[in-house]
Amino acid sequence: MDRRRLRPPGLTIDEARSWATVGVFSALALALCYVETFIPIPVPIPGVKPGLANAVVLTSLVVLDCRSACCVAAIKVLAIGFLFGSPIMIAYSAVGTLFATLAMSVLVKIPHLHMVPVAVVGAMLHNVGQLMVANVMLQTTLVWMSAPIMLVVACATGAITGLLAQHLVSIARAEIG
Amino acid sequence: MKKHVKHLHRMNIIVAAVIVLTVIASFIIAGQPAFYAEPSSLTAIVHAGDGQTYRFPLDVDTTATVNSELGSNQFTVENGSIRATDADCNNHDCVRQGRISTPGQRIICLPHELWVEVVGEKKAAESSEGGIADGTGEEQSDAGTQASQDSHPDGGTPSSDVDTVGS
Repeated sequence: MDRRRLRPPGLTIDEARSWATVGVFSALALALCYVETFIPIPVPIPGVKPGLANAVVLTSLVVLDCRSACCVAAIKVLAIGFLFGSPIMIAYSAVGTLFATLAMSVLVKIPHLHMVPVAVVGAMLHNVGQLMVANVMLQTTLVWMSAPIMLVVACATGAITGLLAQHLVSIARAEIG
Repeated sequence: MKKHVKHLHRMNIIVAAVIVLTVIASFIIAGQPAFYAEPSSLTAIVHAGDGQTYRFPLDVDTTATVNSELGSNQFTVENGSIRATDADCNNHDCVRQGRISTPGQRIICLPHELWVEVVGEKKAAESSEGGIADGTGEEQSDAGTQASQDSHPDGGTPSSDVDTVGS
């Protein structure tokens, strides 16, 4: 059978391959987010979690491109929100993920920069975005009181997701080529 | 392991320094009380045991006694904080809890089922609406309280926020 006839109309093989990778990464993000719910958090602050799905967004920024990473991020926000969360959670997650993805998409362009600092900045901006939403929703600037703690926690979780992303990148490069 | 550390590029150190500085800056900025609310907009709300609420703006120094059928507590507002100065109960726990001056802080009196909270202006308006729901009207609030100096009971009307008290 001719390989061309299997191709969806309007897509080159490379495009189809990259969309398929987006799908795989999105599935991985969902799986990681589900796994995350089993990890106990020793910090008694609501909303603190490892954010492992962020590692997948970072991986797709490195392996694919900014547009694909935004797709993965959008699927991550909507699918995780509808599967495990609530509309309110989607609002928090959407702004946080938007900030994180934008910042990381800039930082991954910097040569010689390790994945960990990129992920840390992403995690920090994710928290800042969430605090902004909290500020608007709760109508109080008092939420910023937790910002320093959130940023410190983001350094730890960002380091974990950064290392995870590095492994994911090496795996993905080996598999996808 | 050592190889990795050796190969850390200058760029990583710069970004790491920016991250550390941001965290330190966030501690400094978030530590400023002025960042959160105007000190003058703070109000102490006394929720008495009979469901009445009384407000004391923390920028007006005053001493007032809040009475309900369960007993009376005396409060003093000075230097932007409120504290219980006297009570006709056995344990005087409210006096021992000291002064409160920032939003979210509370003084709780179990024998008189009374509690005091400090709120910013926005929340003060919300709580006052709640005061209508469980408040018992102006007549009772007059009977229930003899505010000693220039503080009047707030019957729970949302409009009589800061203006009524002290007039």
